[in-house]
Amino acid sequence: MDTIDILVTKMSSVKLGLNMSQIERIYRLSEEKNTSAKLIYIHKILPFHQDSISYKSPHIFMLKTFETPFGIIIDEPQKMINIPVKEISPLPYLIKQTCVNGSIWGAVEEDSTFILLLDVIRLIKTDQV
Amino acid sequence: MEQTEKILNSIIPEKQSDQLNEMENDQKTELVIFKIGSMTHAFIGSDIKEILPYETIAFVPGCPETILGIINVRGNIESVLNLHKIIKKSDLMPTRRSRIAIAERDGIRSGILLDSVEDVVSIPRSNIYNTISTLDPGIRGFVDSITTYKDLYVTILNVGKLFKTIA
Repeated sequence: MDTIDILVTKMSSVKLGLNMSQIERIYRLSEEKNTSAKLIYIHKILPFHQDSISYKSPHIFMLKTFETPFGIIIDEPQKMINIPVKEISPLPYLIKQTCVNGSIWGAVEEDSTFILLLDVIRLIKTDQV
Repeated sequence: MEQTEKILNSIIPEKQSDQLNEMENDQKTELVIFKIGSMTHAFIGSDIKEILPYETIAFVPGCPETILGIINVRGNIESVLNLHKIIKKSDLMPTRRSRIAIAERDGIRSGILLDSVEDVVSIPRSNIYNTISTLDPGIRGFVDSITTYKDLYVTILNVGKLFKTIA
């Protein structure tokens, strides 16, 4: 694998990059009609240590791998980018050790800041879900 | 006096002096003196690889509050720790005096945000004393020893213990 497709979204000024191969479909929260789907806001399982988190345009990111439909609510995707794997920087030991289930697993630099790569499947394997 | 002897006489005291200096250095420990709030602390110099000016730290969600985020140091990503949170002191906003010390111990490497770096000094080991029982409970678990610097009481923090409390 030389490159991966990343869907970039922004939460509280943090750029998150989701691996497209883990996403089944994306739609607005207001369009949600499937009551059987389990939905969870991202900040409930990935702490931002802020009193309140605002979602400008919440979207549901339905994940691919679950028998029971499962969606994570994140702000709307801004863009999709294709990044060479060799441009991904691994994260320092203390981040890898402490971040929820190792769900943030790498970083890519963009415009003097980082896109943090988020493995949503690892994220929802937490006991909190 | 023959020339050889003259030369020897001139260099031997210098060499002996160098050897004495080396012996003295062996008996000294380098410390990085810094401030957190109004308190003065130190790290053992050999644990600190470099000291950087403050730069914007990219927040990483999902990590404990003791980790402020990450920075890019010449192409390598380093984590940055919030020492205020670790030693249970109130947070302060970074200022132009703030510094990020890149520390390494037991194979773990990370930046640590400091309110200011006051000095890097070499002090005789005889001036380093065992810790005392009246230390602030928030800091006691990270202190190996104490010393003085410009009449100030300085607690020497153990980088390895700071890292262990997070990992």
